[in-house]
Amino acid sequence: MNYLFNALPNFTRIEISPSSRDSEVADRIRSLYPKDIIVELDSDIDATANKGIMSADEFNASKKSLLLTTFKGQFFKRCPGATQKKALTCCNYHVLNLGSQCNMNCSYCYLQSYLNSKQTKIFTNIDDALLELKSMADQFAEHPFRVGTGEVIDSLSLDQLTLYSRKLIPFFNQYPKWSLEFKTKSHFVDQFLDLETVGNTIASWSVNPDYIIEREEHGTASLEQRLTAARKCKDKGFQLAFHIDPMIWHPEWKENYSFLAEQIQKYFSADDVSIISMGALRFQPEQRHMMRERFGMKSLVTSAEMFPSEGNKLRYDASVRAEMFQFMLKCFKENSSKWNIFLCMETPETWIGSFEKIPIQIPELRSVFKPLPTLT
Amino acid sequence: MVNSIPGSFDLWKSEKKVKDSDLIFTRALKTQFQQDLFHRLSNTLADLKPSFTEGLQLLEMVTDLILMDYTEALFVYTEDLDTYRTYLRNLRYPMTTHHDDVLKHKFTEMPWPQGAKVKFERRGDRAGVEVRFFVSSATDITKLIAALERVQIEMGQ
Repeated sequence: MNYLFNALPNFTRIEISPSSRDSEVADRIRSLYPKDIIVELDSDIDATANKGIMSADEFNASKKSLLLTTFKGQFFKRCPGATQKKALTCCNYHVLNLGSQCNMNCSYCYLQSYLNSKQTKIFTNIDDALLELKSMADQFAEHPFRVGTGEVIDSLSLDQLTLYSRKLIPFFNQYPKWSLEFKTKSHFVDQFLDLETVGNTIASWSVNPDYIIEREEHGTASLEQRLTAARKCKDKGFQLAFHIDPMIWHPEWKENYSFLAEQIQKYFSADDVSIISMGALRFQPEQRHMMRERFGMKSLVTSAEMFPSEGNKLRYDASVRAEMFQFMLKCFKENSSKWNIFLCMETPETWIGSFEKIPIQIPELRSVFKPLPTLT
Repeated sequence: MVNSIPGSFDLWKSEKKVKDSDLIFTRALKTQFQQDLFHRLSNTLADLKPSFTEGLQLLEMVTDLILMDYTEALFVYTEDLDTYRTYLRNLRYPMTTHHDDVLKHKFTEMPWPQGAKVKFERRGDRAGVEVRFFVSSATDITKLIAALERVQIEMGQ
């Protein structure tokens, strides 16, 4: 099937490892990009892996250089939030990593303190990932596992290159109690809209007001493009979710976030959207150096007033976060009490400050936060 | 990275065993003007003899403020470390400083139990008061609870 690109992701060099040479993704890349930027490697050894954190220049360069390779480790893991269960209230999310790095450029991106490879990677052995997932899904088919592919790479911004959505959706159709979440800031959905879904694939968008998108989410789709793509997915029977995350404080935040809530409600009713999660700006303390160097101090993110919090991340003052969450809750709930909204990676104190309850006490959220079997 | 700064800063750096990697934040100072400003400010700060940790915190704050286009305003209130620290914090965290001032005033005006020692503090992302009491009998506790209930009512208003 041939999918036309509005704009091909802008890689200036593409390397193909020997183990990926015969993959479908490699064939597709060869058909889409000019030959002179494609290098067929002799070895699978990643010569670009860094020991420590990358420099700002290396991080910038890593967005332009693509490596097709195979992944030898475990594809399927718990969301990192679950490793901080003592400090945070987490929602049983699992992640399936089919690549790393992102071709967009958000100032707050946590990959800046996470990645140590000087290239964007796409793992071409998706069949191995699906085998791994099958062994888990067969074992726990009756448990409602939620699996996302957007932890260390955007789920859909490179999907027109990989077409992984076309393998994942049919796979998850076999396990109706499991759900698959594509989390993105792009508007690329046409490549999978012809597929049947049993209703357990969630197309989800990280959303912010255009004021924030223009200043902090460089190279991403506009709010309107994201909402239009979401509408297309809804019309084809996919579930929807929105992540208003990270909410970023600025002097006009109430006006801009209230407009965001209006826009979402203009396109969708509460019944159309499975879940809305909210989170406020947060990052690991060591990330501030990379952000300062890459984006200066004019950014709303680098110049934000952030403080160490439980769990060690830097966050806004707790009362500011609570005010932002309460405000957004009101923007949705005053129109319909049916909007299903929860907080992402927040402390029990903030839950109580915003919702007056912890999630397990909220009937419509109980199933999301109920503990699942531990994976080995 | 800003290197080879002559003067008080060099001495402070050597005395406190500050490594170049501790000054990673200075990588963001890209222009000669920004680097020169940092050199001058680092000497001013070193003259105030901060500890290793506080010195690095204040130098990072100074770096942020330079990148936020503060220039000569960073050379005032340098007479002592406490005053300079407070001044820099006010510049770098204006909203929080204002919020804390309002909260401090509100908390200290509360009808705390007689004899309670009330100290306003910011602990990371939370601001509040540490309150210390001394009790020697059940009656003291009864009085304490009654007083705290009055505080609770006022806080809720």
